[in-house]
Amino acid sequence: MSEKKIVLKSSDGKTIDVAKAVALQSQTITHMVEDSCVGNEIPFENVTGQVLAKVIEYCKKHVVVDGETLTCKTVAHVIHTRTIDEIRTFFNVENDYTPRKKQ
Amino acid sequence: MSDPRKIMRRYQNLMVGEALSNNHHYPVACNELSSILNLGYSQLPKNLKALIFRDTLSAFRLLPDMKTSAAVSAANLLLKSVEAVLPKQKKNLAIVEFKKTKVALKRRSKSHEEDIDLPSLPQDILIHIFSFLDVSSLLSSSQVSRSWNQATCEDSLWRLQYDIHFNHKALIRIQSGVSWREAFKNAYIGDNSSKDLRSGRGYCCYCDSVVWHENLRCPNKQCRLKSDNEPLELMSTRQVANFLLGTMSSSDDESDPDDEASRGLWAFTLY
Repeated sequence: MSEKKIVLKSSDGKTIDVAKAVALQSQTITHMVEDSCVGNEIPFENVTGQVLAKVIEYCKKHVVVDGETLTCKTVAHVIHTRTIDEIRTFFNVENDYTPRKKQ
Repeated sequence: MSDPRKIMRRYQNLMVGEALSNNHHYPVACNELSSILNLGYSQLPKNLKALIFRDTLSAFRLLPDMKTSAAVSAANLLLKSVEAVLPKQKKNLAIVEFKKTKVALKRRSKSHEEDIDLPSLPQDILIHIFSFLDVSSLLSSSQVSRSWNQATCEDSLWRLQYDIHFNHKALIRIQSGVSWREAFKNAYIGDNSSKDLRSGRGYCCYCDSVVWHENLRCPNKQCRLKSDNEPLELMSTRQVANFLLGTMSSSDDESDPDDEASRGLWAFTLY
């Protein structure tokens, strides 16, 4: 997986490192990457650090959506072939489940 | 006596050998080989005996690639059948292969397996993942942890399962106040053939073969269209073996599914 990172700089001087794939979820960022590109740093003169951080948070959530089906199907496949204990081990899930009285 | 070419063709259509490379089907394919060996190896034509022997060796060779306890159990069961049924020379060759595999397995378990370390997944992603599971996996998942359990309670998952299992009957108006989960549970418990779900096998009358079903349908799109997307008749492993051999299962078989369900399937046994 390519580890290309982009640095986004807000109007108040804050910088955020983000993987290129994540950043490109935003149309605006994509355009700016295409247009400007001072090295790896992209300036956002109109956007504060706080807002920029929220945008990146949103983008991170949506990268999952792209590979979502493939990842989910893979996980489903893993679940399908294993026992409950093996599932817990594989995904490192803590067993905090206590079955209620049987219906 | 069944035509040897017919039996050969039937076995080839079963695609047992191919299924062995599939993590998903490996344990069932092994169980099918075991059942075939147990139920009628000696009656088989010579070339089919060779093919089954070849697939058995494959099963042992491929075991290290399957990283589940289900696969190991199935392979051990197959070994028992090998020891009980195969003639001396073939038996010894198979045992040698199995021993090699055990060595390879030990070597692999020493290197730490790639476990995924996921932060706890949000409910909507869990639900999306669970939409790809069959009923037994859903029920397993419901016992993994609290958050997984919560996700399996999502009613739309059970509507999906209802559609998969009971297709046209889903059009029946569900009583208000009854969740899809309740509705599915009641229908599922009352349904005999659902016991065979784990085998992954069903009989498709449109292509006249025993297939690895996908969501209870024939993988062949044409067949799904012809059947109006009706679910297939499911088959247990023992039924698959008997289908191949063209025999009836005796009533005192311990692991046999409900007799009524099996009787319906004998319409598909050809001589």
